[in-house]
Amino acid sequence: MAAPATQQIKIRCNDEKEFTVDRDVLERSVLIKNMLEDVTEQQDAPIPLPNVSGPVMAKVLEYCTHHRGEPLPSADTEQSQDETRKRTTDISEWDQKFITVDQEMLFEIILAANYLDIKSLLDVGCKTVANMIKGKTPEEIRKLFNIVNDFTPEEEAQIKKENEWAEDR
Amino acid sequence: MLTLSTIPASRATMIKAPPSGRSNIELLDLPHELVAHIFEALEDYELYRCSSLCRTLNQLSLNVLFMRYPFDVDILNGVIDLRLYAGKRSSPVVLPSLHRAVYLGPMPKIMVHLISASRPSPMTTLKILKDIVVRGRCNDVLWIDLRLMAAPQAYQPITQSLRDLVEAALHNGCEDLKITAGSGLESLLFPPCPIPPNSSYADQKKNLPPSKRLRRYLGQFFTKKRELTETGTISSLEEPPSPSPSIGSHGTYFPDAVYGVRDIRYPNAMNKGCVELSADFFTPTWLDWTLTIINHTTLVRLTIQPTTSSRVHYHMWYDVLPKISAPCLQWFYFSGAGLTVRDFAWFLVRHKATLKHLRLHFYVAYDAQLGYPAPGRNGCVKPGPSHLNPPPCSPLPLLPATGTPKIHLPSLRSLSLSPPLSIPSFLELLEAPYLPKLVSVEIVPYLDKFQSETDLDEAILSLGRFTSQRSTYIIPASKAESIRSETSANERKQPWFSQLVITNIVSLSWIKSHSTTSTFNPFSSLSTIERLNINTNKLLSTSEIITVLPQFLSNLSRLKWFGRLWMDVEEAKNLERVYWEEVRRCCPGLETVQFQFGLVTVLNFQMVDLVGGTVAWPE
Repeated sequence: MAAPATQQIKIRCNDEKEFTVDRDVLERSVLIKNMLEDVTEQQDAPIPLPNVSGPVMAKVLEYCTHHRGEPLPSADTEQSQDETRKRTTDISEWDQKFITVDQEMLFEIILAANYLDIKSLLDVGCKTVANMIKGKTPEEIRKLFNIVNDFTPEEEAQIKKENEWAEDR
Repeated sequence: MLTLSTIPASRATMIKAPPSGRSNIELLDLPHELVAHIFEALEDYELYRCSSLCRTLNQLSLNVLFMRYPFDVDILNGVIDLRLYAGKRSSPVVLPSLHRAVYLGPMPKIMVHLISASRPSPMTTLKILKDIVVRGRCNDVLWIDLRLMAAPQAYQPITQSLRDLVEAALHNGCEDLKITAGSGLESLLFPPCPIPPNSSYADQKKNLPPSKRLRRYLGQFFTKKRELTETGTISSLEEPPSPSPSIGSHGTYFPDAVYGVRDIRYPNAMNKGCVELSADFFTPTWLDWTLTIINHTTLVRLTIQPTTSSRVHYHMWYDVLPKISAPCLQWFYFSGAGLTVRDFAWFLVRHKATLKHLRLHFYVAYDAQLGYPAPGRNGCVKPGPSHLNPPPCSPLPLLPATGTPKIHLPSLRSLSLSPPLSIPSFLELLEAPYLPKLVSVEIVPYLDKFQSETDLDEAILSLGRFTSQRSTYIIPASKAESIRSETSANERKQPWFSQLVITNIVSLSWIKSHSTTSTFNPFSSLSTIERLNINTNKLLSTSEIITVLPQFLSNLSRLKWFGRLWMDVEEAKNLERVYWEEVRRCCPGLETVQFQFGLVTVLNFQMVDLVGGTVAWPE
C-alpha cells in the first residue's frame, strides 16, 4: 500500500547542499518543526541550516527517516524519564549501527542534534561517547579523545593524592 | 548547590569556536553543556576518573557528580555541607572528589549530617572524612560540625572511626569541632571516669582508662609544641597583640536526652591570642595536652567554661591552676564550680605581672562544703601542690604556709566576682590597697548560694571598701534578690552604697527583680553617671515608675543615657509627656531613654529622644 503523500520540504546546508525531505521526517527536529509552524504560506525557498554540513545532515536525515512516525517525547515524559535515561547507556541495535562512525562525525552529529533539537539523536550520540569512556583508564581516554593534560604540577599532585580510590575500582 | 554556573569564571576554560564545515572537532570542542550531558550517562567512579583528564573535564565531571547528591559547596566561604540521610542517594565518591575539584579553594569548614541508615555507612563516611581532613584540601579545616543521628547502640561500630576523625581534625588545627550525637556516643568516646569523686586527682589520673591512641597522639603533639618553644619562636614576655574576638561562647554540653551536643574546643585557637575551653580540657584525659598548649603560646585571653561533666571534680583546680603559666595572659575568665581562693593564689602569683581582667563566677560554695580554711578569716593559705610534676615553666615562688599572702596585681583593670568565692578573703589576697584604679568592678551575688545574709553583707561591704575611689563601673547585679524579702534586700544594699564614696561612676546597671514602693535610692550618693540600666523584669508598675524614677533620677544630674526600662506597651503609653518633662528637669543632660518591651513588638517605642527639650514620643 502506497504511503500517503506528504509535503516535501527543502533544506539547504552550510555547504550549499540541498535536501528535499518529507515534512514528517524533518519534524523530528523541534527547530525545523517550529520554523515550519511559523511559516503560514507554502514557500519553495529552502530552509537554511547554516550550522550543519551536508554529510552530517545526511546522517541526521537517515536517523530521522528511520524513526519517522515515532511519538516525539513531550516535556512531561522527558522530565520523568530524565533520571533513568541519564544513567543508562543502552542503545538500540539499529541506532548502534547507525552511530558507528568516526569520532569526528560522531561529534558533528551531536552538535547537529543539539542545534536541530533532536533529543533522541542527541541522547544516542552522548551515550555513544559515554560508552567510549567506560572501562578505560584516564590515559586511554586522553589518547582516545586527544585530551592534553593541562593540570598545573600542584593540581596534578592534588589529584594524585586521590588516585588510589579510582584505581581500586 | 554547585552548578555549572558557579564555576569561577577565571577557572573556566574557553570553549573553542564551533567549526564550520568538517574540521578536526574533538570532545573538548563540544559546548560544556553537551559534555555534561555525556557525563550524565557515566557512573560515579567514571566521573571521578574523568576528573583527572584535564582541567575542563575536571570541572565538568565533578560538577555533574556533586549535583547528583544532596551536597552543597560554598565556594566563597569554603563550607562543605554534606548531609547523608537515609533514603537519599549518596556515594562515598562525593567526599574524595573534593580533593580533585581543582577549581575549588580550600575548605576550612565541613558540616556532615549522617544517620545510621545512610549509605555509605557512617563508618565509611567517617573514614573518608578523615582522609579529607588529613590529606585533602581540608587539611586546614577549622570547623567541623558532625551530626550523627542514630540510636546510641548504633554508635559502637563507628566509635574508632569517629575518634580517628577527631584526632585528625585536632592534628590539622581544627578550632571548632562540634559533634552532635546521643549520650551513647558521648560515653563511648569519652568514657566516664570510674574513680569515685572523693579519690585524689592523682589517683584519677593514674587509673584513668583513656583512649590510648588519642593519648599517644596528644603526646606527639606535646613534643612537637615543646620543640617549637625551645627554638624560641615564642617570645614569652613581649607585649602581646590585641586579642581577636572570642572564638565563640559554646561550652561543653552533655546530653541528658538521646540527642545532645558535644563541643570540643581546640586550644589551637590560642595562636589568635584567646581561647575558650570547657572545663573538660582540664580533666586528666586532656590535661597534659591542654597545659602544653596554654603554656607555650602567646595566649592573652583564657576562658574556662562550666561543664556538668562528672569527670570535672571540684578539687581538681587545686592541682590544675598552679600548672598554668601563660606568660602573656591578660584576661582570665572562669565560670564554674569548685574554685577556691586557695586554689587561685598560685595562679595569681604566676600571672601577676600581666593579668588585667579577672572574672571569677562560681555556683557552689565549696569552701564551706569542704571545710577549706578561708584565707581571709583565719589567715591560712595552704601551699601549692607538691605531689604533681609541674609543666616546664618558671619555678613558682613559694607562698607562705601560714599568714595571708599578698599578691600585687599592678596591671589589673577589671574585676568581676561572684560569691561563694570568699570576696573578703580574695580582696585581702589581692593586696587591695595597692591595686591600681580599676575601670570595672562587677559583683554577681547569687544570694541563694550565700551561707547567710551576714556573708553577703560582709561581701558587699568588702567590695564597697575595695571599690572606693577606685571603680568607675559597677554592676550590683543581685539576681537572686527576689527570693528574699524586699525590706531585707534594701537593708542589705543600703550600707553597701551609703558607705561607698564613688564619685566617678560612668556606667551603672541595676537589676531590680521585684515590685517596690520604697523610695529607697541606693544610688543617692552618686553624682556622676552617664549610663544607667534599670531592669525591673516588668514587675515595676507604671505608678511605681512614675513615683520613683524622677526622684531617683534627680540625683543623676549628669545622666545622659537611660536604657533598658522594661514595661508593657500600655504602661509605656501612660508615661505621658508631663512625666518625661519631669524626668528631663531632673536630668537636664539626659539625651536618650531606651525601652525594651520583651516580647511585644513595638519598634516605635524603643527610642524616646529627649534631645533639645522635645520629647519625640512615637505615634
